[in-house]
Amino acid sequence: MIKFVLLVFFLIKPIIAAENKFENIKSILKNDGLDALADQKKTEEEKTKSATLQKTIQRYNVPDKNQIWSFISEYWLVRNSPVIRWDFEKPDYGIDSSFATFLEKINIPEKKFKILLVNTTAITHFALPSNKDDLLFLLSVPFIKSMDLSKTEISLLLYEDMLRVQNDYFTEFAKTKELEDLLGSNFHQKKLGKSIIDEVIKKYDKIIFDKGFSFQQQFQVTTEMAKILKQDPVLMASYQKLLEKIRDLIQSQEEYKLYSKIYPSPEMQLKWILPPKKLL
Amino acid sequence: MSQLGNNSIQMEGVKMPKVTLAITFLLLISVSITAADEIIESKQAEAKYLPGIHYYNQMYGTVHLQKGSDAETVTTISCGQPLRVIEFEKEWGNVKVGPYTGFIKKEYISAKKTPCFQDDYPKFFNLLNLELSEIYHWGRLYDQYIIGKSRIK
Repeated sequence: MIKFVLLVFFLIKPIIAAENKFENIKSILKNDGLDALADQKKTEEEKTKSATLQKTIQRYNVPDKNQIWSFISEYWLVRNSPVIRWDFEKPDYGIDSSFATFLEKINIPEKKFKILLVNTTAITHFALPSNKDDLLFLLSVPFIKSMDLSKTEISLLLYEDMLRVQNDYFTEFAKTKELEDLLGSNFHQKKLGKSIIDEVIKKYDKIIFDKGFSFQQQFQVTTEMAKILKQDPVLMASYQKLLEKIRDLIQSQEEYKLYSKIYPSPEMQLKWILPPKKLL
Repeated sequence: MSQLGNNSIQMEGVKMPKVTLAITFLLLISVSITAADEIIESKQAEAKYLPGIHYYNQMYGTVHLQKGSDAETVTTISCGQPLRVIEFEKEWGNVKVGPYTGFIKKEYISAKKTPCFQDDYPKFFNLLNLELSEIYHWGRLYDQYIIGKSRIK
């Protein structure tokens, strides 16, 4: 028994000695500020970890509605490059300066725009969704050459498209619920696939090549055009001429027979803008 | 020296009330600050088109062998790519990008690095998993745009 007690005593003695040594020096260490330094380092380490985590989370940010549309429209253009053929050699038609002058004439200053000419009849003209304050137009060279459109008529065509995109017809159709819920959020530690963008691209294809705009939307745009142009009889006459040219083109050329499916219908648009005939 | 009121300072042959002098002094300071601001702004505008290190400011871009949107492609670059501008020639910048030398449209070159979609939303952008041909075409896209702006009347 005594041997056991002695054994335990000799085992514990160094531990107790060490503790006593620490107790003796503890106050010195405290006075030297070492425990405060240890705490400070611990806090800094936690801050660094938190900052690193924040940076990682931020990488999963999703653009908001003001930044998404130019990105998706350009991605659609890239995907459809072989179909709509925008990469081709062309002369300077002076469309940028004539459209800028037209916008100034109808009191729309400081408006930036981009026009992409396409070498196809698959698309005639369109304004694609863009970020806030941006405008992106598609314009078919064969289409405008077939009708020998003047620069004023081209400007009127672009302005009609501008009204359509500003009325959100395209984005209201193209946006999916999944995309809408995702915009401006963060998908860290969540599953997200490419399908969310592919679904929107399919909607782009649908509206541009198949569905187009409704009669109601056409009526709204045409009456807006008439309201703006009535102040200028020369512009109004040019708009009428443009619609007549389109009407004649789609009646005479096979490749444009589906135009009215996308933009119904030049015949109706003419009726909407012309004053009703007086009965004698 | 003739006697003047307490609120005046005698300058040679001219009576100048202290208030007027203070206002004149403040006006001179504000004019010089405005002039300094204008000098800084014009220097910054000049720096934008001076040779040196600049950055590409669109999603993707094309370095052309010669000046011209339809000129042969030397390479495709992405947003934020540093460029050594040798000189600006009208609408084009003659640039060196890595081992390549060619031309990029001036409007797509910035003196400072601009926000890039790929950098602001990297994980979202990576969802596209772009193929090389798509990157190439995206780079070609910007040279095909006809860009304009209506001015203030």
